[in-house]
Amino acid sequence: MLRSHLRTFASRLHSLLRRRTLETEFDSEVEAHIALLADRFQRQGMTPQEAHYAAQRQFGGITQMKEELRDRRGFPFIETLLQDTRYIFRQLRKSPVFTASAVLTLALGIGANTAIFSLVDQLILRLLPIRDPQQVVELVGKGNYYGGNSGYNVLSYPMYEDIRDQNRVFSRMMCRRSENFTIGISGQTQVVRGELVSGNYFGMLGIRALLGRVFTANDDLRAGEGSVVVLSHAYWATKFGGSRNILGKTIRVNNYPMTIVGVSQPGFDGMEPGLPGEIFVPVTMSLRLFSRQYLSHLYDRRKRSVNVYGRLKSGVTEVEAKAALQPLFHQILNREVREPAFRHASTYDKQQFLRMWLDVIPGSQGNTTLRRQFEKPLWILMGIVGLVLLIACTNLAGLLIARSATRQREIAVRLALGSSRFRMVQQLVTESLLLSVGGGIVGIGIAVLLVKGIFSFLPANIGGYDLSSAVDWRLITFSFLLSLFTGLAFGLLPALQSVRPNIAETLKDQSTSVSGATAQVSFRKLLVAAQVSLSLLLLIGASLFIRSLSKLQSLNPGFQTSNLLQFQLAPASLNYTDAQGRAVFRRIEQRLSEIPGVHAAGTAVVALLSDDDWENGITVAGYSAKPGENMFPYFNAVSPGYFPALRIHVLAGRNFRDSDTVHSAKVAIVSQSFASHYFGSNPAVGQRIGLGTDPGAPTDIEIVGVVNNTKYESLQEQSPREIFVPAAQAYAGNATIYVRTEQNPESAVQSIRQIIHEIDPKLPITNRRTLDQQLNESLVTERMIATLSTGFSILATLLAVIGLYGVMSYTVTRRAREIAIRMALGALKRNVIWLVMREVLLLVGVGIVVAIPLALALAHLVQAELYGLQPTDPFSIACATLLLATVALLAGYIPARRAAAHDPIRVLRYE
Amino acid sequence: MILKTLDAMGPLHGYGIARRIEQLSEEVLKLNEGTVYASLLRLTQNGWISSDWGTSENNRRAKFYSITKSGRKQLVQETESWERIAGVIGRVLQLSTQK
Repeated sequence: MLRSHLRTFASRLHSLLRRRTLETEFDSEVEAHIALLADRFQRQGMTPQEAHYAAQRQFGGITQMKEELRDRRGFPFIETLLQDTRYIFRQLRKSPVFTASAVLTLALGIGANTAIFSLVDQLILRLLPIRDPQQVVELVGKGNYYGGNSGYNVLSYPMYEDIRDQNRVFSRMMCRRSENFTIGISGQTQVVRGELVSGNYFGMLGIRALLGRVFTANDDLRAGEGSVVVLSHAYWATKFGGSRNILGKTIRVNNYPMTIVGVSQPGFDGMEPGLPGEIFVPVTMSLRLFSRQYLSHLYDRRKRSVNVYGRLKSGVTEVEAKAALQPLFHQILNREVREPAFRHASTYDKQQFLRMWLDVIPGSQGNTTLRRQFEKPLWILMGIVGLVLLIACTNLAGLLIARSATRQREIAVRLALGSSRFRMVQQLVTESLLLSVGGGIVGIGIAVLLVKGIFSFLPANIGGYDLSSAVDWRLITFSFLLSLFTGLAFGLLPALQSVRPNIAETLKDQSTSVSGATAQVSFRKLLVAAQVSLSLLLLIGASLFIRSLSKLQSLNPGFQTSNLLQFQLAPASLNYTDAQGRAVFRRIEQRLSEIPGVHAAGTAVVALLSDDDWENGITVAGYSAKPGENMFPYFNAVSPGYFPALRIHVLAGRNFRDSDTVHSAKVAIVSQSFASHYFGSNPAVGQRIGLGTDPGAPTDIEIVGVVNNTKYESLQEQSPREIFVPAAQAYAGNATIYVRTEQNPESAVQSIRQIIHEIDPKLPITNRRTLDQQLNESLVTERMIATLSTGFSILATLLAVIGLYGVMSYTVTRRAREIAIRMALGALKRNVIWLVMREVLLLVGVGIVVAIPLALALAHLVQAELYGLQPTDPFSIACATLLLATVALLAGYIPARRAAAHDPIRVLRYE
Repeated sequence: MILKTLDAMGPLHGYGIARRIEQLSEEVLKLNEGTVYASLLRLTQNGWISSDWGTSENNRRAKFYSITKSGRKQLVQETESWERIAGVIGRVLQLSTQK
């Protein structure tokens, strides 16, 4: 059955392509048949003439026959489609202005959508290029952990080992963590992004080696052994020129010799999409490579530092896995809580710890810092461009209606001649589809430009993200589907509208058939009111985002950002001992502050406003914390030069001194918010605090000073409670150095480089930028939303205003005679203007009245992206409404003026 | 009917088929001969017959249709099912006459 259908289909397809040949063939076949019949009749005694007629009679109607065969032979639907397409192309060529404006309007709408979709696709939707990504899940410990964290969604390495060895739901598991490494190749050092991975990492992901080998479970068996490294394909291609001789070579990773054993397969850059990992190092090597950091405590169950992934056994769902893992997880927790590390833990902390649970989340997209940052803003932008496209569609629907109004007669004639309504609609929709596909094609070009534009104002550190503006098949598919959808959306309604005319009426004189046209005009007016509404929505959104951004920009971070330069140094990555590291930082600080034009220089372990943080539990002498109270203030370890360099004021007590060292008494400086929270109006200086929240933790740190509040992680946060400790008493192996200059900080860069080079030529300078840049970068999502939403809402308003202008011009032209009569009868110009403006006011008014409640209803969607104002902010709404009303009324005023300027005599005579 | 004709007589052109049908049906079925071509197209599309150009009796170019292998199979099937139906109807008719 299916085969015969296929055969019929093939035969029809064949006919479609050879239609002309087949028709001539049939002609000659028929001719032969009739000739043979005629011969026979002639033999029976007819004259040739008679025989010919008789033969034709007996054969039947040739034309009917032909038509029947034609319908059977090919695909009539496709043939009419091709026919329509040819016809429409001719029509569109005849009205290039209409075609161009339609295609351009659509291209803008589709282009904007494709551009944002490209970002959404790359940052949110795309799966990692690994084997069966849907099977991969990440494990996340939820609840109150007892201990320290380094990273997002992390578990401790021993916990990973336990789950790996005892679970029954995963076929394989692996763990990994992102790190920066200092690489030394032939005397040159540079910092690269990489991953610390478990031995089974590549096997679990199904990633093969392009060259040499990838890691196996043998590579992470013993801590500190297995000094092997795998390079990513991209890194190998750019840094080693794709040389095959690199296998077996030794490179220094954090100044430790490691052997290159392989290159991973192309396209795979690790588990953080957008942040390509360039080298892979066995996780057990972290003990050798990171002596000073969390990673040196890899086997400590109280330090969580690795992301844990599992591959579900076939047939096991996420939900089943989650349920199956809980007993195992709690068994491990129960064992941990009896360990010596919990000796001092309060009952509350223990209870909370035992209440933790293990979440199983999809891991097919890896660990995406970038997605967390951009997901919400991108969806908002997607919504915005969706509205823009809707407005573009509405505009085009209006244009098409206007166009079909001029074609009423043609349509009526065709309907009268027996064309079916369906056939007419098919043709009209084909037209709009052709336009929209054209718009889609141009739109892809616009999308590429737009994505490039968006990249250009993303800051340098985001530029490092591996995003591309290239067009791939996913984008083309998206754009094509969107085109089809828009084509139908804006084409179908006008098409249905225009095949409704009263044929008899229209075929009589056009001028008497005002009734049909009135319905169309009111439909167009409805569309315009809708456009006004939608663009007002967008304008309100844009003005909210702009206000929010300007509030953020005018915020006082608590320190002076101008003429301030920052960069990072990590002596620990060159295996400096702590003492050497401290000494190097002291010397650098000393030398930097001697540069002419430099006011002060200081170091901090945690860089400001960079989403980096260091929290620690504390105990405050004389303060009893309520159960569950947040006793985790932010920490930073800073040098004596830090406060002067940032112009942070010491409000009470003293700054750190060089005499605060490892060997002297432990001291701390606290922020004003800290002081007032814990000590109220009592002086903070002289109070004592201690590290750790366990009952009875020693309070051996004396507060020696209070400084003004500063922002820590980001501008958006409230000024947090913060504790500063001397850099010398909390050395971390790396630090951010701040240099306050007299003039443009870039002018000091050369001298800084020279000084660092003199101190240690192998020490790489990373993350160098001015604080103003850093501040701007910390606002990148806010700036992106504000800029794009402003751009798009202006575009939308423009489209709406053009729509309004179009419909009003049309109305004025149509009513020219009526207006002329009014004027002849004594109406004044302003009466005429009012006549037109009344309608404009009504349209705009309806639009506004619909939009504002809608805006209030949608407000909660953008709430999270706003700072310092409510999404129902009356000022923003008023500004947007005023702007829209002004522009719209202006657009309506032009045709109104023109109507009033007509000479009534001339108009009436023309009619 | 066309299949049967082609099966019995070998390759024929449209005219020949029309004559044969005229002959067989003894003028009971008097149709416009053009309708033969609609059937021929359908049979071709189903792959039951194939066509080739040849020369007719009066030396004109004509398309000769011949039955294909799957056409024969189809013919057997159709014949069987026809005979079955005809048999059933025959029996039913006999029943009613016996009454």
